[in-house]
Amino acid sequence: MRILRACREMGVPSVAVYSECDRTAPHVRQADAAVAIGPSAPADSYLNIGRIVDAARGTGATAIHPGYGFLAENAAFARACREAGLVFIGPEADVIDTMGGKTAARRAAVDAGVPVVPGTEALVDTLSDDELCARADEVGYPLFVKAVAGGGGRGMRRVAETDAVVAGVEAARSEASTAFGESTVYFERLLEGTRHVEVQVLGDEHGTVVPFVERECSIQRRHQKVIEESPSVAVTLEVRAALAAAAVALSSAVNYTNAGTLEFLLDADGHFYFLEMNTRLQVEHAVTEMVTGVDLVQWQIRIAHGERLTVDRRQALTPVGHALECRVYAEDPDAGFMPAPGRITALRSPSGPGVRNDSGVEAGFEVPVFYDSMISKVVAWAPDRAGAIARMRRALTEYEVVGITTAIPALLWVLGHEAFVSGRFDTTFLDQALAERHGRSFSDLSAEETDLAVMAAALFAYFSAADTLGRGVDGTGPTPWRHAARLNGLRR
Amino acid sequence: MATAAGRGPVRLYVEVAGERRLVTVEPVGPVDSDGSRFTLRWNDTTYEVDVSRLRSGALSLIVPSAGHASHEVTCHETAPGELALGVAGRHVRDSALDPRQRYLLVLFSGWAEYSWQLLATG
Repeated sequence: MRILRACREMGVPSVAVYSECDRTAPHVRQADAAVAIGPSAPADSYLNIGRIVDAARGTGATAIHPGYGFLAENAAFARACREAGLVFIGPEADVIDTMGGKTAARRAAVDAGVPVVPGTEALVDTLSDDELCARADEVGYPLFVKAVAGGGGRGMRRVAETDAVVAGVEAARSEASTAFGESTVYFERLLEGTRHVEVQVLGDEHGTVVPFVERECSIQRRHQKVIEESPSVAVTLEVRAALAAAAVALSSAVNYTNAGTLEFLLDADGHFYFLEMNTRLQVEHAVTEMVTGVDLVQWQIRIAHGERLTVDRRQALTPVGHALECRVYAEDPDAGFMPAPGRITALRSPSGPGVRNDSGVEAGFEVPVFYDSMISKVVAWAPDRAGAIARMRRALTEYEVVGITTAIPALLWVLGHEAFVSGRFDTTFLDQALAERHGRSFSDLSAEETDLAVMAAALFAYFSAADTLGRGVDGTGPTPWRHAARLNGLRR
Repeated sequence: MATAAGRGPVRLYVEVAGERRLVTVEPVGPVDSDGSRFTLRWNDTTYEVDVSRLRSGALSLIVPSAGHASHEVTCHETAPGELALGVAGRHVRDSALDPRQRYLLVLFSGWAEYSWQLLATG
């Protein structure tokens, strides 16, 4: 939907592709054309390069925007598009290869003079067990075994000591092989007490790279981002300038074009370390748009068609106000955040001043079991952070999703947590805070709310019975026969 | 549109957050199809409630004794006799309507008149 909206505003016709279970999805019905590309399983549809390219050719499309999932960072897909004479709205395939491969990206960062987290630039797959342990000892503990093709916390294992190295490597390789079809891994030192900040860049085909004000993505559950914001409360003007310079140096060094994001770890002293680069639009791009006023998706399309980047660098690095994004998933926070797909029977979306809801669902939509269960991204903007938090709380309280369980109660809890409100947190905050709840339900109600629930349940039963009876619930009202007779009388 | 005059009170068990209460629901005046005023009693406490049906599965409750604010509560049936309620952005699970389970099961499966009479006189 986000991409379609940008196309529509630019007067560009759009073609959506869809799998079987997405037939009724809003993006399918809102695009100018839609093409079925296969069964619901991703491998048979959204990951099938041939079918997507055929869909583009068959409809006369000239460009493909890969979105931010599935094939968005797949160099083979970018190559296939270009070989088919289609514009791939993203960087060159070779750049995806370089920056999408985590060890190659680390090497490029070192070459560009950008600090990296201590680790191995070379892969460790071919090493013997003893060599693995020796290499891990050199990096230092604790460390992460990370899959080169990994992301979203998958294909990653924390290792605290030499004895756990071999098992950690095997577990990470196995998970990465299943999730990404690629099992190569490397080591990276785990820096404790750090925050996750990232820098959005846009680069054009004429050598211009514009960095944007940082996003903070430290609120993570099992390495999955949950709440993002911009700017970061932990970044000073000096650090922002240094982050931007590092992002430009690395992006320029690899001739990066289109939208990309460089992720860094930031320690308490303001030192930052390059982690990796995402060679696509990020889920959390909306917070950058809200504080800079720049439409990143429109710029992606314009850059891909050879336009010269004219975004003002000072505007891009000077946030106006503060923006937060909450990822709303169909999952049950009281059941360990298990995915909770199903049919949305009623929906009231948040709105009002400073609120943006990028959603791909509506009432009647079946959240499929096949894909990521995120149903929308709620973004709140306000002149300052406290205002943005208040607005987000208000928006999430308004947000009503009936028929499925969502993580909204957990998001509201985080937004009210003292550590979050004060801005004193690092990437481990959320997992620790959740552990400290010891499984306490997110649905706990105050005494007043409990009374309301009792009233509502009783009244709901009362009205349901009245509806079913078609008469007063105490049995004294008109019978359905009498209703029918009255209606017939009115028709005469 | 007033559809019926509420005369007698209706009693039913409501279980929220593991605590079961016998709730008496009594209309105050005529019952409108879209809502009305009710008296609800449980645990020796009486509440006057102005209730309005917003749409399927959503009620607006104004409780004068609790500050007059309008509280929106959503309800949907997850199983016979069991409701999921949305209160203040949170979903309350294990909220069950259980006026001697078998009656409610009948109530929600369509034999409403018979079962409700049992319920109303229970």
